[in-house]
Amino acid sequence: MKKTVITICVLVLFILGGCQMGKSQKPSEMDPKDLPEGRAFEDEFTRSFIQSTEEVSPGYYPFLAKNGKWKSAFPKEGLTNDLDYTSKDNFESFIFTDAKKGEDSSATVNVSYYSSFNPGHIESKKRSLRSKTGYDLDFEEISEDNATYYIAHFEDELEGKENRSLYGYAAYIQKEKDAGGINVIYTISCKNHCEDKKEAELKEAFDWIKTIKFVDDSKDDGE
Amino acid sequence: MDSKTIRITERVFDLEDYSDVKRSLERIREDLIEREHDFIKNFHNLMIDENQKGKVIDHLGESTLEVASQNLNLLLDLEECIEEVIAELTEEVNNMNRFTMSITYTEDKPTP
Amino acid sequence: MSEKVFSARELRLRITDLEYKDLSPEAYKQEVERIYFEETGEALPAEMEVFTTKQSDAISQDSEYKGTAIRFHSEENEIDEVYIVSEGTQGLNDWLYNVEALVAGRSFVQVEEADNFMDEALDHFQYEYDSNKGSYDVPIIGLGHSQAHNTNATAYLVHDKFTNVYGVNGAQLNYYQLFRADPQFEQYLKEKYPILETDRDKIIDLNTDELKQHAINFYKDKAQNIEQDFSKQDPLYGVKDFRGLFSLGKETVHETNANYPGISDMFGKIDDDYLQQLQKIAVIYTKGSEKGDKMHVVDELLGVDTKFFRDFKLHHYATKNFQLLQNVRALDAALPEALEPIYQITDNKESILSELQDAGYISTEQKATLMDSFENIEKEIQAIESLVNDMKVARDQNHEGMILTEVIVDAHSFYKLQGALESLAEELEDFPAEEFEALLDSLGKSHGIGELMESLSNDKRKYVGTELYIKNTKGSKDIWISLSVTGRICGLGKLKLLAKEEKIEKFKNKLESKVYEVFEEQRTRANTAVDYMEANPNLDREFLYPHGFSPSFNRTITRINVHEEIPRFKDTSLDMTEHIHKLNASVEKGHSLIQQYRETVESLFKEEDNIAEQIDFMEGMYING
Repeated sequence: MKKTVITICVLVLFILGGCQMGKSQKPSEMDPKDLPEGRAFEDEFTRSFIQSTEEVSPGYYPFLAKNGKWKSAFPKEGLTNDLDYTSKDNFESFIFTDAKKGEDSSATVNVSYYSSFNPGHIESKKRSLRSKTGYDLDFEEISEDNATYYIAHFEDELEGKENRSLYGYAAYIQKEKDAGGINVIYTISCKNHCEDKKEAELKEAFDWIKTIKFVDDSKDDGE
Repeated sequence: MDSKTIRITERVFDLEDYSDVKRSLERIREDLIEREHDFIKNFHNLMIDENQKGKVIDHLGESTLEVASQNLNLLLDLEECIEEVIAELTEEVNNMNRFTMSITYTEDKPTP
Repeated sequence: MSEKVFSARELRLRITDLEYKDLSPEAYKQEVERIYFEETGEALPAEMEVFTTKQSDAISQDSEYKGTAIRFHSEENEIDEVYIVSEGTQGLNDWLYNVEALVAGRSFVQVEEADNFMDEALDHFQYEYDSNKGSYDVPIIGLGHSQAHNTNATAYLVHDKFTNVYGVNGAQLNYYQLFRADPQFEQYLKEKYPILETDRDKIIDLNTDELKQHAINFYKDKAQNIEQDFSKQDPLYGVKDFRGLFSLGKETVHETNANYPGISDMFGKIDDDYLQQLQKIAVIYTKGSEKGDKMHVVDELLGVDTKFFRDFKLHHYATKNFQLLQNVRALDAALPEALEPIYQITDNKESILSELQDAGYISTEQKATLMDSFENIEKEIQAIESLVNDMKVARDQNHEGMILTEVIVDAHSFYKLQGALESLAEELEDFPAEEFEALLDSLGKSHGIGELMESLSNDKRKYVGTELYIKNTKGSKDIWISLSVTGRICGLGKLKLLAKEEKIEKFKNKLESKVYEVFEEQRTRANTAVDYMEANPNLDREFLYPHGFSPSFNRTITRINVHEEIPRFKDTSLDMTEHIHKLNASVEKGHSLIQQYRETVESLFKEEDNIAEQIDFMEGMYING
């Protein structure tokens, strides 16, 4: 009698277990065997930010900041680490690298979110990015629903142990309804044959910056 | 006609209560006490004397203590004073509104 | 340096400290005037304008950064300069956060907030930014204590808008922090260490002496514009050579508290490896605390997300069996490395605590309490390690998954594990920090600006905290007097007496209107009533009803004679005139007291010291507002 009860219990548990399968899960909860390819999924820490295994665009997956205040797309070869990540309610600093295997160029993307930056005062933000990067930045302004993007292109030739080309974008994104600002410095570093890929890489960078969006407190992100 | 006189005592006007006046005066008094403390605090930390028995500092200290205690005592006494004044006001007023009177009257014959 | 107004160290220190007083702009300006006069004997040589973060529109009111911008301008005296005084962290709890956060180099939010505030302040003062030069056309001087120095100095390195930066007991610069906050330094390091291009986390393995040198080289041009004052006993001074930190600028170290040798001496005796472990713990603790609740500290300490274990329920055995296996294996693998620094501390607790005791920082009882605490933490962690290992072994032996009885045994381990995790969290939360209040207090004071200023005293001027006392030039004994307090006694004292007078007047008016006049009104009413009653005896009067005079009684009142002695005011003791006189006399006493103080102070100085004039000036500051 006892054995029957136990067997039924176990069967019930497994049936219940069976019903659990098939629901969309976060990559961090999934069996690594089931995950897509890419550094972003191989690395446990990086994986914890990715919200699902469904692409939002080719090679990009949905990313949510630890403090929940902003989100963006994330490249599958993207990689971050513990030291490059700080998350507080009023500040989030996130740096990741994006390097495709065997390629000559790699990108370093530095994103900082500040909860105290009120709308307006854009000149000051542009100035900050210029003084920070040391580049003479000329910003393009793009307005969206809840945010305005100020994006500037830069280019640099480095002469040192290895000649490298640097190019990319510095951007500032201002939340319009209330306080919130994000600084972005997207730098691509290239050793050889840079001209071939530059245009495509820059477009990818530009498009990526546009995927950064503020998350409204009122919205329910769902469980 | 028969004329009778009786002597009665009766309240002519309602009882008065002056507790709100008392509160009002009290508040000012308490405020004055706070101000006194505040004023005396002002005199703190003027000097440091390495030798603890400094005459100059002691003398000033004594003067301050004297003024402080006199002024505070005055304000403390004021509480009782306010109390007494209000009590007296209340009593006097309520008394004066209670008349003792002699009433002379006649009985009218009842109408048939 | 180029400053004209705050050219003396004492001035800079006192103004830096002023930030903690949280004053309104008007009160702040008054304080600046007072301090300047007290220090120099002269009025401010320029017009002063003030703009604070409270007035800021660029950064919201809950920004972490707080500060005040002061502008001094005078064409006559050729003065045109702006000071940015950033608010540091004063209390010891904040200081502890300081060490942890800065040793770990994780947050630079204030750097950017400060930069934005500076732009807004300069715009408010109507200065223009020269984009070609990359600077404003006016000297900008940064003042900061503790964390604020790190903010100002880092902002200087990254944005290059400051002309000079002065710090007192400042948190030092951090090259890990700059690697993340300064793109130009980042490129410089990547030149030196190409591996950082693709593997950024390798920075933690790079030789720290080399990194330090690189940072100092990269920023060497700015070093000459940075100046720092330290208290030797400031704990922050003690940790200024921790890995990750580097110092720039001219340094002056002051011996401020002879009672304690200073933490740096103590640290000098401790093993370098051990210090590294302490630093790791600091990082872990910060990351855990950042997230807010005690379980996060446990998570960080163990190096694994224990939420999975804490939330695990029985039915998860079926649904999350795979994750459970993963997590158990992960935890088992991660634990030894994560626990290494903790075991280092608990293994060495005897020696480190003895050091603290010998140096006089903790008492015997406190040492015992701390030992207990460490031992408990150690115990919980060992329990956790052992339980997790049990669970892992169980799984390794049963590749096909466990049968139910094994699940039950496992669940029991699980239950104990959950308990151990809770206990550990509580132990960490209950860590007896209050035990060490005296120590913390003393360390806190050594971190403050006051103690440092006291060490700047000489035989004519003495500081008590940041307040200045000067020595008498007349009289047989040495007495130290504060001119500010004298001014306050005279100026503020008089204002207070004026206010007291007004209050007494109010009291008097209230007496008159609510007592005296009321009494008279009542008298009049009563008298009138008497007259009227006597003149009109037979009117219908309800108050006579109980005495047989209601209408049903058919009586006619022919005469009423009221036997009433309505007292006059002078027959009562309602008159408080005497008290009012006494109250007014008390105001006079106050004035006399002020006068006595003033005369006493003046008598302690020779005429050529111009004390009377100085007191007049100070007094005027209060009276004229």
